[in-house]
Parts: sequence; C-alpha cells; structure tokens
Amino acid sequence: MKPGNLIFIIISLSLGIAAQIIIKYSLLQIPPDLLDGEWVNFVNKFSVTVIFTLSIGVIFYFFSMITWILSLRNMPLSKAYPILGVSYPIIYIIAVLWSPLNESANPNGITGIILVSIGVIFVTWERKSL
Amino acid sequence: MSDTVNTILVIFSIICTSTSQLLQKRIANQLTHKSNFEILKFYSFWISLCLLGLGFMSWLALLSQWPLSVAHPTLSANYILIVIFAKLYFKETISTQRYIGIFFILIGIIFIITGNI
Repeated sequence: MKPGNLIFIIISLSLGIAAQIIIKYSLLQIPPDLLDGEWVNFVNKFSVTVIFTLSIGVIFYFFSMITWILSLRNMPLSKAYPILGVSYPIIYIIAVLWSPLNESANPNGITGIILVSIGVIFVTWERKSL
Repeated sequence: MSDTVNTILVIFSIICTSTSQLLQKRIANQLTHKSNFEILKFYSFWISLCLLGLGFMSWLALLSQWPLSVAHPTLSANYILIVIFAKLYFKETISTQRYIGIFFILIGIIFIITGNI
C-alpha cells in the first residue's frame, strides 16, 4: 500500500467521524416536541442553529467522500472499505463520553462494539500486501 | 415514529450508501490519475452523490430518533453488501478470514441494537 493512499483514508476517516458527531449534535438542537411523528413540523421548523451546525456536518461529510474516492484509486474496495470500520469504536466512545449528546454506555453496546472492532481487524488485516 | 419506520429508514439508508460506494469504486477504476478533479467529469459520480443524499436524508430522520451510539453501528451492515458485491461484481478475492470478520461485525451490531431498543 502506498503511504499516499493511507493518508487520504485517514483524512477521510477523521472528517467522517467529525461529521457524524456534529450532525447528531445539530439534530439535538431540534425541540423534542417537533419529533413526535410530525413530518411537516420536522421539515419546516428547522431553526437557524440546526441548519448552521447541520451544514457544517454536511460539508465535512462531503469532503470525507471526496478523499475517500481519491484513496480508492489504488486500493481494492474489499480492503479499503473495512479500514473505515475504525470509526465505529471511536464514534461510540465519543458519543457516550461527550456529555452534550446525553448518551450512555451499556454492557450489550460495549460487547457489540468490541465484536465489531474484532471483526474489523479480521476483515482489514492482510498477510501479504495487495 | 414507530420502530417499523425506523427499521425501514435503516435499511433504505444502508442500501443507498452501499450502492453509492460501489459506483464510486467503479469510477475509481476508470480514473487515469491525471488530476484529482477528474472525478467531477463522471456522470456516475453525480448519481452516487444523489444516492448518498437520499441515504443521508433517511439517516438524518433515523438519527433524530435513535442515539448516535446505537444508530451509527447499524451502518456497518454495509460490510456484508459491499463484500458480496466486491466479490461478485469487481471479482475481488474474499478470504475466509474476511468472512469471519464480517460475521463478528454482524453479531456485534445485533448486540448493540438489542441492548438499546
């Protein structure tokens, strides 16, 4: 694997993780009563704060995709794609530790994340370089 | 929104995202490495962008209902679709080790969802 491809993937990964956190944060700025099944309200009453933070998240997401495509130029999909799996434990940890998101860890969730991480190592690890 | 709607949102989001990824790989295979901006000339790039947009809208709707620590891991269901298509369409070799890894990932997702829903 060329170092250049790895750099693109790491940048893409970081942007993607930041995007998810920012987007979830922006959705939490919507008053809860708007989320009780009213689609019209959900779409119409996005506040300026929600739209602003959401836009930042979307911009991160877009550049995450661009850098992802650039990294795919010299890597097979079945090798490149699993590397992004590192985002699962990282996002889980940030989500439960960063208090504004108001989420908590539980035994099943932690077990699940460990299994996902082991799975990612198995899928990603390659004895001979491609 | 009900669990049924949320489940549909998850599945729809995953299908859109993985289809988009596969289109992107097809584009990447056709790039000539002359310029990093060459991708913008591919019409399939814009299709993949639209699919990503659709997947993203359904993802937003889901994320407004579920905690990020539950919703995000469900996206790893992409792995099974992507690896199957990488094998069938792009003719990439998939080792037993990778199948085991995918099995672990899926069991992990089930743990995360059952712990929270």
